Amino acid sequence: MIPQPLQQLIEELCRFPGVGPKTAQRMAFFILSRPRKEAVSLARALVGAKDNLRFCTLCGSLTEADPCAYCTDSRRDRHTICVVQEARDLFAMERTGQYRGLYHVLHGALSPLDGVGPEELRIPDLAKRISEGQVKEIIIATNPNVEGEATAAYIARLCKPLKVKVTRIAFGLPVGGDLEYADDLTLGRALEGRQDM
Amino acid sequence: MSRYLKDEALVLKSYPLGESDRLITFLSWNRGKIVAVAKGARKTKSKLASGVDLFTHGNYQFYQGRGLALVTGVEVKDRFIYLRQDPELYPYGFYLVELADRLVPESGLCPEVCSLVLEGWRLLPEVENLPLLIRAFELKLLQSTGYSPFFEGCLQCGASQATVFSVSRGGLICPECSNERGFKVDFLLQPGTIALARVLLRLPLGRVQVVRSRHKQEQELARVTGSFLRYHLQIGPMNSLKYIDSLTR
Ligand SMILES: [Zn+2]
Ligand SMILES: [Zn+2]
Repeated sequence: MIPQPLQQLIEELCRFPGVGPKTAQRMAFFILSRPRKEAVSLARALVGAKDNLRFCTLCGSLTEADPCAYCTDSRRDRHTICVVQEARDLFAMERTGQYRGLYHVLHGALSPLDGVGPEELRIPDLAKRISEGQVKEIIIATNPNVEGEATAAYIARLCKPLKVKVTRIAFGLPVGGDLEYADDLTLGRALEGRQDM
Repeated sequence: MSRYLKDEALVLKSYPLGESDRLITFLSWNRGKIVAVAKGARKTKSKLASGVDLFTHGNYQFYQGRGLALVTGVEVKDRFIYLRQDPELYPYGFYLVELADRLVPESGLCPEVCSLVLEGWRLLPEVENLPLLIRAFELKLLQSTGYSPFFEGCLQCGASQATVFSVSRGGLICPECSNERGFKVDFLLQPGTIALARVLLRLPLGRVQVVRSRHKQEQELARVTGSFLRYHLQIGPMNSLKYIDSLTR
């Protein structure tokens, strides 16, 4: 018989992506084996992140202040917007150290099977940002798989009448993988070698 | 019991799994649906990644251990690039997938369905009338899985003058039989719609371009196949169809 508090901890840990009951149990026993202050600090970090982070209303990235640090940084190039699927892809682009423009996080990709259309993503917000007139180039950095490519194609078509240059990161990114797994060097080269859509 | 399998298959669905894997649903020619894990397929250096992407047709190798099967190798035959490049074709490619996925039972075997989906993906960039291709696909798919609706005359007496479509009976009923037996009249079809359904059922899918039809007939047929799928196969509103509607609105 597993004590109830332990059972509850395991169930909560099971919610994490990629964590099954076995891993959850290992994690639970690890937490229990550590000093109380570590558990408290973990719990505080969970609640703190949830309470203090929100999505930037302009670009959709995770932020404490709205608008976010990227959107308000006057040193960043305001004529370029890099479109990514998820906030973690934004961090991947930042790690390359080669991008100095603004971002737009879609929070997903077009997926007819899962009922995710343009309205479910932040695509209308992107169109609005472009129509405000400052933007000269849209760099589409969605995943190099079917859903990412289809989303890129949709955005490229949407941008056509808006008179803005649309490019797609390409070079060296093999088909099928996820952007977040590309190493910094490859992603940097892909950014450099972006092609017109 | 563990064993190695080889099969020709189409990628129907692909979802991220765990740290860097993908969970793939295949529709295979010889074994029906196969659900298998493609280990590391989200990593950019993965040799499997491009072979297990959506809309891929290939020869696959699997290893069936005690748990979920693993994809161990792939030789890609076609990847239908236009389905990802053309925002209009994209949801249609998925509609074929969604319907096939829901029509083929988990342990069922339907090589004809594989061939129909493959043919459909090939036809999508060539066909001008996409809604008509979809109607043809629905009818051929129902036919190949043994659920074909009957449009050749009255189901009850064989009379050729039948225009009432009964969804529960799965076909046409003539006015006399309909009055006599009190069948529920689900649809009163135009002769042109009946003729269209007959032609689509008789012709192979690949000949759909030679068929001429009116928009009204296609719409009427869409309502018939829609309620037929709902009633007989409990296939409700489909996400990809809603997506298509939202784009064309
Ligand atoms: Zn922002
Ligand atoms: Zn009759």
